[in-house]
This record gives sequence, structure tokens and C-alpha cells, in this order.
Amino acid sequence: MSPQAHIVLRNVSVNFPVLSFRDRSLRSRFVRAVTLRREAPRPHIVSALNDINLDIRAGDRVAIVGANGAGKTTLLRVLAGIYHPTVGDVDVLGRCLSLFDLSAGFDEEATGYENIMRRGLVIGARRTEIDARRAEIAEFTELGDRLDLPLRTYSSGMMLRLIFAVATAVEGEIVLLDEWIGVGDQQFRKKARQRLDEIVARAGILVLASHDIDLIKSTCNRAILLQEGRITAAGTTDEILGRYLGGEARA
Amino acid sequence: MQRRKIRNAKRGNRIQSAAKEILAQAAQFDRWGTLALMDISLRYRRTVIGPLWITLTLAATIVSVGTVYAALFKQEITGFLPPFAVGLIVWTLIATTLQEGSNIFVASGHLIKAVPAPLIVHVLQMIARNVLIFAHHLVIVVLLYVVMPWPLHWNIMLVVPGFAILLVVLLGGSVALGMLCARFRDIGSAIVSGLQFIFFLTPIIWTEDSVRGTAFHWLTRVNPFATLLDLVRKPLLSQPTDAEQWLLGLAYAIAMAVIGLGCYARYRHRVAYWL
Repeated sequence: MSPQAHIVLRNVSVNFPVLSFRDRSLRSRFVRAVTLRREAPRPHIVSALNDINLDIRAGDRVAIVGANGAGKTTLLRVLAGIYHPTVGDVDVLGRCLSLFDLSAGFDEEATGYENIMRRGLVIGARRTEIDARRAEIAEFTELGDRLDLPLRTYSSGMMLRLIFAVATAVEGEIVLLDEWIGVGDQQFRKKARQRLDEIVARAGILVLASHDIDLIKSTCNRAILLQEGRITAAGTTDEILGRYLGGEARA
Repeated sequence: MQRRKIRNAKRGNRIQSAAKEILAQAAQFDRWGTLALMDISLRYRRTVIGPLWITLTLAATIVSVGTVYAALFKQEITGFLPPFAVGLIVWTLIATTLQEGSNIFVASGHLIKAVPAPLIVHVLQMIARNVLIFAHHLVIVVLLYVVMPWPLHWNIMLVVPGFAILLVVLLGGSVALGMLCARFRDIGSAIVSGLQFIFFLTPIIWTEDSVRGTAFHWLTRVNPFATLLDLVRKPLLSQPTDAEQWLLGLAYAIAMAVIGLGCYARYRHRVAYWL
């Protein structure tokens, strides 16, 4: 494993333009320009993350807690490299395994095996790498010959098995999770839980956004509390959970 | 170990880093090429002859429209049909690519917000897909040489540089239009009707010779689509091309490369926020 994986965020802010129908229209912009109307055509800006400073080192298991809309997913997306912050510096050392939106890249019409290839290519793996992992992924899904059938014939449970198996087939020093993934029937759920535990144990860093208090207590050693895009508290899990739950009780 | 550093304070050379990213992704053709191949095979999964269906539809259009227009313009079918057929095939590539290109980031929105990947991958995949479909249509060109019979000349080799120029224009155009349409959602439909309009202004169903001496003739010179189309069509037909067209084509390619690269360097990190 890599003891030197780290994540450092310095003064990171993310500002979203919330584009209304009028802002999205070039025609209305043109009309405004020729009719010389000067009133503010500024798009509404939402500040999703505000001045975030983070220093996560190898061995850290960080929980992100906060109400809906506090910026948890946005922060995970910044860590994953999907959002490029508007302000501030990001330094991520280590391969990120982002375990959210797992179904992106799958195609209904393609067979199970083809979807293994598709999703692999989409997340940037090489063909040879995927070919090497194919049998292992297939075995984990326990779907057997059904992997030769198109995805549209799968039950939702079967689909989740495949999606989970493909997503967790790659290694990463940094694991990013937006809620713990629980999939399939009891037996597969146990297996999935075990695989996820293994991945987390191997990873240098885990960042988990969750509302599941027991899960956070059992997996994380640090926590940060997000409120309206700002980190309002950071510290040990118990301390932060105390504040978070206390704040919720008051409200 | 993989490292990702973003420093907003010190931007560095954005054009250079954008160009590096594009070249690095373009080199990974087994990634976007395989995805493009899969796209095609999936779309025609439940048909027997697969993507040749589009070729067949196009061939039907070429034969029916071609014979009618040849009669209307009182031209020999053997002289009219080949340029019309090849023109329509190349135009189909140009129009579909630009249309899909203008929608590319909106259409891949789910993926862009779920998986960290350079934006250019989506564009490369889309262009590869359309080039593969274009390759299927070349069956029609082969048939023209056999059936018509059309004289073959070494000029046909010039299709390689001609096609390269067209690809650069389509790549730059798709990136720029894709970003514009992600930000301003009402442009997409304007582009569709714009392309329809340009189709009629480009010598495809009419020929350059038929307008010689009229006011329309200058259109075939100033219309970039006419030039780019000819740089692929004329070689495919084994016809000679003139130096002026090559210079113009090269100028268009450079201009679109600069525009596309500029947009990519400036806005590639903003696109995810517009989706």
C-alpha cells in the first residue's frame, strides 16, 4: 500500500451559475442587447462550496456529514476531479476510486460482458487491463451465462450485482463514497459488504459522505461538518457527530 | 503514483495544457475507438445487415433524388449521379458530426458529472463513430466506379490530406459548438436549421458548372462548406483539385483548430457546471 497518499485543499470554492431559461437563451441575450436594456442579466450564482481547507493524510477515514444540500456531493466531486474549483488549490496524490453514480456508462442494449468493457473504458482503463479482469468480475457477479444477455433483460438486483462488481474491480489509494453501497439479496449483500470492507481497508484514504450514524462511527476516525458549503467543524468522529446531532435536535 | 494538482492562482499556460490533454487522449485511440465501435454495433444489434441500413437508405435517396434532378437539370445521369452521390455522402458526415457535436456535452452530461475524464474523449468518440459510418457509405463510391463506369485516377490519393483537413475542422467545430450549446440551450435547433440552409447553398444537388457565370458562382468559392466538401469529394471522384481550394481548406483547418483549442483551454472546466 501507499502510505504517502494525501489530499490537500486550500481555500477551495465552487460557484455554480444557476442558469434560468432566460440565461440559457442566446436569443434573449441578443434581444436585451439590441433593445439596450441594461438591467442585470447576471445569472444567479450559488456558492456550493466556500473556502474549504482540508488536509487528509494516509490512514485517515473521513466522514462528511451535513444536511441535504450542504455540499457533500459537490465536495466529493471536487476530490474526484469532476468539478474544477472556481477558486483555490487542489493537490490529490493517489488514484481516486470514486464509488458514486456507478451506473454511468452502462448500456441497456449491450450484454453483461460488453458492459464490463464499456464501463471500464469509460473510467479510463485500458482494454488489456479490462480483459485481464473480466473473468474475476464475472465470477464475483455469480451471473454465469446471463452475462451474455443484454442488460435490459436483467432484473434490478442482477443489474446492481454487475454494476457493483465492475465498479469495485479497480484499485485506488483513495476511496470516495457517497453513501455506502448495499446491493442485492442477503447473500450477495454480505459478499458486497465484505468486498467494500476489503477495499476500504486496503485504501490509504477513505472519504465517506453519509447520513448513517452507526456506519460512520464504525468506519471513520475523523469527520467534518458541512453547513451551506462551509466546513463549520472538523475533528474526531464522536465530537463532530455530537455537534451535528445536537444541532439537529435543537433545530 | 498518480497526482492531480490544480492551482487556480497560478494558471500557467492554459493553451499548452489543453493541447497536451487533447493529444494525450487522441493517442489513446483504443479507448474511444472501441467505444465508438461498440456504439455502432449496439445501435444496430437487432438488425441483420447492421449499419449498412443507413448506407442502404442513403443509396435509395441518391438513386431517387439523383435521377429526378438529373432529369430536371437535363443532365446525363452518368455525369450527374457520381458527384451528387459522393457529395451527399460527405455532407452527411459533416452535418451529422456538427449536429451531434453541438449536442455532445449535453448528451454526455450524466457521464461528465459521474466520471472524471477529459471532455475531449466524448468528442473523439462521437467523431470516430461518424467516420466509421462514413466508411460504410464508401461501398456506394466503389459501386459508382464499377457500375457507372467512372474513370479511376491517381488523384484519389489526395483524399487522405483532404479528409485530414475536414477532420480537423469537424473536431474544432464540435468542441466549440458543443460548449456554446451547453451554455446556451437555444442554439441547438438553430444549428439544425442552419445546416439545412447551408445544404442548399453548397453545390451538392446542383453543380458548380450549372451556375457558372451567375451570381451564385461566387458562393462556391466563399462557402467554406463547399471548399471542405470538394477537398474530399473531388479526390474521391478522381477529379483534379486546385491549389486555391487547398490553401483555403488549410486556412479553415487552422482557424477551427485555433478556435476549438481556445474554447477547450478556456471553458473545459466550466462545462460540468453548465450541465
